Amino acid sequence: MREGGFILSLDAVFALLLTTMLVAAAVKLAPPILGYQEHGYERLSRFASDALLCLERRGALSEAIGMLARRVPLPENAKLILRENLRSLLPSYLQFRLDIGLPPHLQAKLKTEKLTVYPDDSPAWPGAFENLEEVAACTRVTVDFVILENLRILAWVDENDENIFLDNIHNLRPNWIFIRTNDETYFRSLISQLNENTPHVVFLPDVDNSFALATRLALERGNRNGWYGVVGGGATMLNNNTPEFQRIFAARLRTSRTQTQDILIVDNTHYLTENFQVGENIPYLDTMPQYRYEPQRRLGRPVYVLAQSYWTPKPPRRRDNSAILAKDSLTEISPGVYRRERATLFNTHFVESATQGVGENQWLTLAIRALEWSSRKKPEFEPVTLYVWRGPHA
Amino acid sequence: MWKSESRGSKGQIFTLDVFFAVGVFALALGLLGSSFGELRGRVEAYWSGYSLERTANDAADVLVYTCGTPSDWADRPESLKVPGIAENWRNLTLKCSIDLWRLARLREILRSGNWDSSPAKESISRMFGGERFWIRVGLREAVFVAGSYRESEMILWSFWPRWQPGQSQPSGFENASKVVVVRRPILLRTGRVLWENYIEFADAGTRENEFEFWLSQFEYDAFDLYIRVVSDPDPAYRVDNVSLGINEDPPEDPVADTEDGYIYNSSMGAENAFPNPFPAGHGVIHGGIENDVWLEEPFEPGSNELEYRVTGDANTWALLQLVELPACSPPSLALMDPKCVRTGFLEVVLWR
Repeated sequence: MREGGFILSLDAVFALLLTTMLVAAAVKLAPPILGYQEHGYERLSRFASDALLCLERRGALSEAIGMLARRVPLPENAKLILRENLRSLLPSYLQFRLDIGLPPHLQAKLKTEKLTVYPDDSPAWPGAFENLEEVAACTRVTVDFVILENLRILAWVDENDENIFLDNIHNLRPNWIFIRTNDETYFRSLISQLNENTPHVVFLPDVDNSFALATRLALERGNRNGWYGVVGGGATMLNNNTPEFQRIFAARLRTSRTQTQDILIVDNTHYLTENFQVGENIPYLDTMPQYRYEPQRRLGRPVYVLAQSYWTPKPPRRRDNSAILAKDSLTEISPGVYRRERATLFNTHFVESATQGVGENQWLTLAIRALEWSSRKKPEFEPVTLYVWRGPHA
Repeated sequence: MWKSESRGSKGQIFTLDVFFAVGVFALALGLLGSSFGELRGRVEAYWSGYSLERTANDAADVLVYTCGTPSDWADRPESLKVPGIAENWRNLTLKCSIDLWRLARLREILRSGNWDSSPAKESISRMFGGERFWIRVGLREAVFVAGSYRESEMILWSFWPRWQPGQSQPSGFENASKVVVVRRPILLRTGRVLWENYIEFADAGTRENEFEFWLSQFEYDAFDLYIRVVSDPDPAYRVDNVSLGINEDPPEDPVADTEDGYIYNSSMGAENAFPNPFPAGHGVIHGGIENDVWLEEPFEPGSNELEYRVTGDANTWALLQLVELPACSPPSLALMDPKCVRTGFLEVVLWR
């Protein structure tokens, strides 16, 4: 009696059955929709990066950081601006957390290491954030904390309206230290060497005299060595149109005119003018002259024309006139060691215009930004991170 | 059991076990086939969804991150290879900032009557994986009011291949089996300022002037033109009236000279735009000056003229702006400051 094969075929049937069950189980256990896990996160990630970009490009980030740095108005207003903008940029089914790292001096003042903004002030947000399963993050770096505490400014003051103008700046920047003088010997002693008394920036709003060669050389050397920046305006170049000053400001004085129009901002990508719109008009006292400067662009020493004015010497021919010139030179003096040489030149008597109420706020803002930008202190880089996730309000 | 016996030997041909085995085998085979069928369906659905998601995502990237290829495609639409609509500022692409000129050009290419003959049809279709796509651009704003945030959204421009004014969605969209919507946050302006003039009265008086301009056929089709009049919120510093002549002298009488243009007066508020849905604004609810049937000589392709006369007391002021809104925009948009950068969204919708 032969019965071989029966047991084997039963084994085979069991094996087949088992295999089939495993395959079926694998199919059943496969994720129902694979799309969300991949695309869902990608979408979150895009929302985070795009929203942060829009926040920065719209100026909301700068405005909020400026509020934090100046603490005027209250830092809570910075939160409000950031929150309104982020809620406008992100759909309501997305929640967010924005962290802005603060530089040490602000950490001490605001008693926190970073500013954190959630969709509202509910105390439940930090707990909800800690327990998130899926969150996308995007980080950028800001240099807006260039606004400095204790910035030391050496100002040449030979008219009373310059004192008034400086007082107005001081009201807005109470922590800045102003050294005012019209004594050339003292002035030269402060700019000739690098020590604790060396200014961060030399402010020459409207110099009515011609400096001695020794002063001009000292100023040029200090600026070239990156000890301090220089901000000039009014008749400073008219009275000192020398090779030293031409090198400091990277501009040469051609002539002066009075029949000119107001100043127009032509570039707002620069730190000086980023609070303004391209084409924005800066009112100027039309009884005061404007100067025509020719930018001296050389290799490695770029000069940015941030604003222009126009006049018509032979109508209808209209000529452009550089109204705000910003020189920014970065030279590598040894491997990894850079020297920054900055100077800003206004072609206007902006002090007179501001003190007589023509474009006062705009000229003050521009002068403050020029002093900040031209100062030799390095900017502080702070991270800004936006986290985005799906979910209901906390 | 079925047995056969012959010549003293016994054989077992088919047993119940065999039937059982065959039955189980058939069942297992059927289950396997069904499982593979289900698996195949899932894989197909996944790849179908994946490719739709991928295409929508990539198309949204191209639209908001680039100004297109070539970068001047909006001035030479026949050269279009990739239709980006981001702003280009001094050869710098401003990601996520929408350029209305490019947006308007893309809408015109897609408009019914233009799409089928457009040389850009192939490159646009390739980018969206076919003609089943829909682009929506809108404003979104959250404002902190009385202790809470009020969020609002408004779709401004919605277009797809062969879109027509008045349609709310593409034909065939309601029967879609799968829909993918990709949204991106953007910055945008509501209009373009073609011309503006600020008028200030140190003493009471009247100012009269004119502005001549050339309107191309594209601008005429792609944009609606409105005149925006802005004066001081305080009536004491608001001009008395502004008379706006459209290719005619400024009208003297708001009723008798209706066909010549529009008249703004201080009672209309600090801001107004013409034409508008009210009788003094010609009751137009759609289409701008060039579509205002009340006018004898509305703006047309070619040379046009805006003549204006402003009357005000001492210390009053007015700002006049000729604003272009993308065609078929809500007229209320003309009231918004066109220079203000606003937050919004762009959505790319794809379906099968």
